[in-house]
Amino acid sequence: MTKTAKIIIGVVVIVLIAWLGYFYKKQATQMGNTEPIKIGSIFALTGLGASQGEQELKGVQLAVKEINEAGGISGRQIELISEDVSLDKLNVAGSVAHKLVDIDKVMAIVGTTWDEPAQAILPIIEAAKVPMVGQNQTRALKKDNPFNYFFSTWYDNEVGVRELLSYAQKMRLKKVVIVRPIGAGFYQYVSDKISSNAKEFGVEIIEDINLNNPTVNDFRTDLAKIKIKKPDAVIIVLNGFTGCPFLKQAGEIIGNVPVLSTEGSGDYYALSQCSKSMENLYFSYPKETSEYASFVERYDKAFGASPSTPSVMTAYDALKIIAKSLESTNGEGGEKLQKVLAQTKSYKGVSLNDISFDELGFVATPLDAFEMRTVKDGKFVKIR
Amino acid sequence: MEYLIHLTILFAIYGILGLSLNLVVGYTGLLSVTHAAFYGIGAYATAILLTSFGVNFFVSVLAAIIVSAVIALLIGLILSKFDDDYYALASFGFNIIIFSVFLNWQELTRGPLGIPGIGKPSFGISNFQFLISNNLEFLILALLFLGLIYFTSRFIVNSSFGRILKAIREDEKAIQIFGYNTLYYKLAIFVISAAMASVAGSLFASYITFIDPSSFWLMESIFILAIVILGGLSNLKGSLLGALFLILLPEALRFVGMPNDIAAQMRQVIYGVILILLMLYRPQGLAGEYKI
Amino acid sequence: MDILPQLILNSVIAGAIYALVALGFNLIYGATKFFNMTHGVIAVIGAYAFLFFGKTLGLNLFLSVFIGVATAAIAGYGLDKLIYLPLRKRKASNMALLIASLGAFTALQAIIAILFTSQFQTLWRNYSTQKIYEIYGGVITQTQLIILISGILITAALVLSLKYTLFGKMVRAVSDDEEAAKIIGINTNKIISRVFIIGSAIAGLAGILIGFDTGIEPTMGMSLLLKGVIVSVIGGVGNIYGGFLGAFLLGFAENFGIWKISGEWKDAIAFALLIIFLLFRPRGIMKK
Repeated sequence: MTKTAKIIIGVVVIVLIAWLGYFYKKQATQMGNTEPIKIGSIFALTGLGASQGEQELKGVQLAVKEINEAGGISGRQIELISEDVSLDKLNVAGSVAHKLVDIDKVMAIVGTTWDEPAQAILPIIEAAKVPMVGQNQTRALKKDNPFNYFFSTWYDNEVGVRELLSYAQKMRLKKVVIVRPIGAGFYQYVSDKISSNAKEFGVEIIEDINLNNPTVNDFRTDLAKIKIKKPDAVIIVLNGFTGCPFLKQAGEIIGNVPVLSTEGSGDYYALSQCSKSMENLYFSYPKETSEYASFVERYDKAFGASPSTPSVMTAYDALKIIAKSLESTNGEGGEKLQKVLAQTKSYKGVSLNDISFDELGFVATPLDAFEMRTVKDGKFVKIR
Repeated sequence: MEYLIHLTILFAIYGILGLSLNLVVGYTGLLSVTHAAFYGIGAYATAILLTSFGVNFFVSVLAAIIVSAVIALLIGLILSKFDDDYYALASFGFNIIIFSVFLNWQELTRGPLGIPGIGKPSFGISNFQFLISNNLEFLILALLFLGLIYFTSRFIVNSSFGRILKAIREDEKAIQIFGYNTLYYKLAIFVISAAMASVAGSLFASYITFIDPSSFWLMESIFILAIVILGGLSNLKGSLLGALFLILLPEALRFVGMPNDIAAQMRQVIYGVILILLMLYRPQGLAGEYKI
Repeated sequence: MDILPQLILNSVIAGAIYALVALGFNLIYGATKFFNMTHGVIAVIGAYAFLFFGKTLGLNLFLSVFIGVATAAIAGYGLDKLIYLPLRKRKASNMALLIASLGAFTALQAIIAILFTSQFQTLWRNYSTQKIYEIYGGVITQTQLIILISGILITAALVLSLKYTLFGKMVRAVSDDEEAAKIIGINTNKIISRVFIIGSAIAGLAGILIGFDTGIEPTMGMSLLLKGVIVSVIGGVGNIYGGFLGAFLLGFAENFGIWKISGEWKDAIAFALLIIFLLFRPRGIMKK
């Protein structure tokens, strides 16, 4: 028994040291008499979804840096507490949310990468009255429960889908094959939207291919199946991860059949990796806002690259909106902050010229917010 | 406080998973790497019954146990044809097959969209209704289940049934000579273990209120196996220690200050290194005495 | 049937990739008998080493491939020397080795992410300017052909050396029965160490080739590893020639499965195949 006792003591000691270390650090970082305002962020930084989460974090970091350099919120600096939850760790999502809310006592949170962790976190933030603004969630999140403390700066995916389909209609791409890759809710949701909206635009889905395999990047046989169907186009919800392999293989196997996709495929990082393969890609992407050019300059200065994906911009806006709301409440969180956030109207964002939250807390997405783009000579170009 | 309650609930759930797997791996010597499948079956059964049919939580736990047990019987039968090395590999196969079912049988499970809005446990006799409305109450329920499973495991392990399991682990052929139908014993413990894992799954589903297939992939089975090995094979208290350790370790690491940009990855590195060091210096696990 | 040639080619391509990954795994598993979770990440290390020297620094192609393979080999050797060997000396169970390899896998994957970010990257400087060959209406790229040829050559080299060289015989002895091999005087630890070097080098090459064919990202090791495992088992653990055939069998089963059933069940099919094999042919497809 003494051995076990030793081990239990060992475990307790580890925990105690960690806690003491944390509290000591907390004391050490409190400067003067103005306590920093804590804001949490939850993104996938390791594991599944990390390629996206890494970028989203950068958007938030830039926002924090800019606000702090301009004097902070009501004279108080923002302390960003960044946490990591990958798509497949629902229990960790809970732990992280509790830590931010109960221990760090953050005023608000930006996050998460995609829907799944958010689903697990919504009940927690609602109960704790800590608002969370999501940068990349689907409208499926509030299916059964209004969750007043959750807001989202991410576009209504359906608008982008409709833009894409109207392009298909214009180009007379009548018979298409839809491919559903990667088993994550976001892709399923958008693919479903494509299926349900297709008929309205005269697009007939002649085959629905479901890959659903979480680690697939070998699309060849499915492409061969598509080839014999001779579709006018292929619609697939791509992201920076699956984009290059799919487009490259599509180029090899189905040749010039156009590939239609949504904003995730317009990834600047992917562009730097396989721009030639992307010339056959036509995707809907949010229109550039008036703030965009300046944002890209500042982002490039800070990180030496272009923001790769739209959720970087929505994450940036999410944090800025939280900061602005905190200014109004004079640094107070909870219900007061929730009320101010809910009334966000006409905020000039980088992701949208006019960010206004609707009654459900989602950003109202104008029907013409998206445009079609493709790739020429290694650059993204607008399709006229 | 809520944070601690949350962690303790996780401890209870993973404790149940660790204990049940230990019965099969530690005591009977069957290297099963498919536990997450039964965990998932329990979670999905409860999720579906609660959201689509409004069934009571406790009834769903029973239903989940039955489903898990039946599937475990089938899988166990096939697995019993393999020995040692191949047993493990075949078991992963089942984990992945069942995961594919969770992901692709969308009419039942909603596939990657997952099942949100799972309710909390409640029970009532005529006018008296008790709904678990906060985490503390859920914690008590979870700990009760943990206790139940711990004492059941202890009972099994100390009984003559348990002695035969250990004998199977040591030398299956020898005990067969004495006339014991080892297949029956191996199947029985596999099914019992699956039933327990399914209880953990039901608790998980109701607690998080949302489940999706990704929580039940192979890595989760490996994680549960790690709890058992780290805690010490064929030591029940060890499994509890293992669960405690593997849940607290990443949390403790969260408080260690690291440069923001690479903090998350650095934590993974430290976590990995700690696992390596633990195995190097205590390969029999925190509380273990038995080495296969 | 229009699709058949492409289907066959796809199966062959997939098979070749699996064969390369499985070769190294099979060799190492045969000699050490524990499930090495780091094998996949070693392939990834090779690929990233190439990325750094070949793409970022722009060094000569063949030199970079060599460095990539060497880095993978060194990583494998290092893991054995620092972790697995001490554990074997302590007579630790295979489970302890499994957990240690899990820890190593977690740590290494995270280190790669720190050094190279989690973004998906390609190894070519000009991604799609590869030669494409058409065979009876099916398409295969230059990289894929190289993968196929490498797979065949390396398998042949391994099979021959295992059969005819002294080293090969010693490896087989260790694979069959480590204790007996020790008794007859073989320095089993040294042999195992060499096996790690060779197996890891092959994995590194596999990683680089896959990187050329598709692309790389830090978490790709796990799925490579799983395929390597399935193939090793189907082919017969430790049986190189069997592993080679098993890889193609898997490639065919998966691709024909996708054609006839659906892509969503690809993984389930692969593992169901594994289980069926284990049931009816536990020694693998080749009689040893």
